[in-house]
Amino acid sequence: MAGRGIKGTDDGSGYAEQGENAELRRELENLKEFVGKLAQASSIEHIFTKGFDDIKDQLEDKLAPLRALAPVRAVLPEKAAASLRDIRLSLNRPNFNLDETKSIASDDQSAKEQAS
Amino acid sequence: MILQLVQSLVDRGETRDNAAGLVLSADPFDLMLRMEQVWDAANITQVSLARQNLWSTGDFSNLPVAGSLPWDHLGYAYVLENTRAVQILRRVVREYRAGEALGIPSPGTQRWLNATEALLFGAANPLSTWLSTSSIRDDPEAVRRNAYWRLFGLDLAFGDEGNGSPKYVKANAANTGFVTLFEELLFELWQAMSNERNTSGANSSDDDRIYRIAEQLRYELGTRRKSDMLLREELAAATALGWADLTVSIDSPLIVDLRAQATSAGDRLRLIGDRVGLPAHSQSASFFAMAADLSIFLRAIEAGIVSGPDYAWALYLSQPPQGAGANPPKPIGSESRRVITEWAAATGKDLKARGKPVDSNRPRLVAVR
Repeated sequence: MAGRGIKGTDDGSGYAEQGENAELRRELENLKEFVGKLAQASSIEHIFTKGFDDIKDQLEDKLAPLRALAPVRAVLPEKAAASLRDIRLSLNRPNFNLDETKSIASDDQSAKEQAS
Repeated sequence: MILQLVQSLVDRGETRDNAAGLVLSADPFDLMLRMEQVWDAANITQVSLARQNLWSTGDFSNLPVAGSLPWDHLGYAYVLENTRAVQILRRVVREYRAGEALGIPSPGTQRWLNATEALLFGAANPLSTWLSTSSIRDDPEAVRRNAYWRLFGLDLAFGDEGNGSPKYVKANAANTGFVTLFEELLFELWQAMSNERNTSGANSSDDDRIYRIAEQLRYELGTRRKSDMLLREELAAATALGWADLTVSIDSPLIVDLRAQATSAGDRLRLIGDRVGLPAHSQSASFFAMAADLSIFLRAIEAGIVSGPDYAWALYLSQPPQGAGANPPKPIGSESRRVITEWAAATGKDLKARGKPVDSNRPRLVAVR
């Protein structure tokens, strides 16, 4: 039965491996801390020395493709805007689909809520 | 014009239902004078001093007329006429005038009958010059059908009152391509609406196509509007159907007398139709729901609001986009959405899916013949 057991489990080599791993992990942590400090220092230094403008420019360049996804929506020319206002004014009408008393009450309620 | 008159009374301080009641019980002559005033305000033809003096004696003359074209588009009249409201109200008037089969009309209903005969059925009035009817074209419904055919290339969904083929002059010059363009525009607007907040997936909205279709529609409608053609007919039709619209919008004396009280215009019309033996259109609710929005939509198209692809948003956004300047007008996205939904319901067409995909296998342009 003993021959079928897991070899080397009690010869001490496992403990040696665990010790090595722990040491490697500690070194990795130190390295991460060191790199983090370096990066942080360089970012802060970059902002202090070059200001936010460079970062803004970099971001604009990187995000430019996303901007192209949005459709172009220009301000309506004054004549068209005036026409649209005129159409709304000309065709203004009461809404008979709403219950009159209910709509007035709900308006009062929302006005009170806004006031509070 | 009728609903806008109610709004003017509301602006003066009346409650909505009171204002509607005041208009429904008004003297028909006052309503005629108001039409003169509205026609004068639109500044289409020069109105004589005598006419101006006359309309200034009307009951509603002290109410300002808002806007430069203060009546609904012919499209409003077209969709409401498809409910069959005018033919149903014609039967109501005939029954009340001919006997007592519908009961004894209350004083309020009798005032409504007087105005209805004048506004809808051409009863004689001293200001007949604005009317679109004469001894040459004596049937107001035939005049409206003629106007619908010319502007939209469309007939009503039903024949005459006896379901026979309608008799009206079918002009050769008609916008028979209107429906195709209109439905294509609605489809493209729906694509734009459904992609409004899409920033990552495939975006099938096409502002340039919206602009081109809107422009083509404007050209078509403008062709029939040269030198202000059809405006007089439009005012007469919008007034007649506005009257029918207001009649079934509240539980007025007529509705009470006919025992047709309900919570919506479509249901009231259906009940009245049942009383007089003429069924309303089964999609009346959709017609009532979209009429006012269609009016704004078609006016915006005709006004050329979208003069380039960069302005197409005005037809499908519900609020102005960011950076639209100070005090921008509200775009008509909400109205377009309502028209898409109700037009699809009324016609049975799925406007949110393209019926026939674009054929990408066609290798060459179609040859010129």
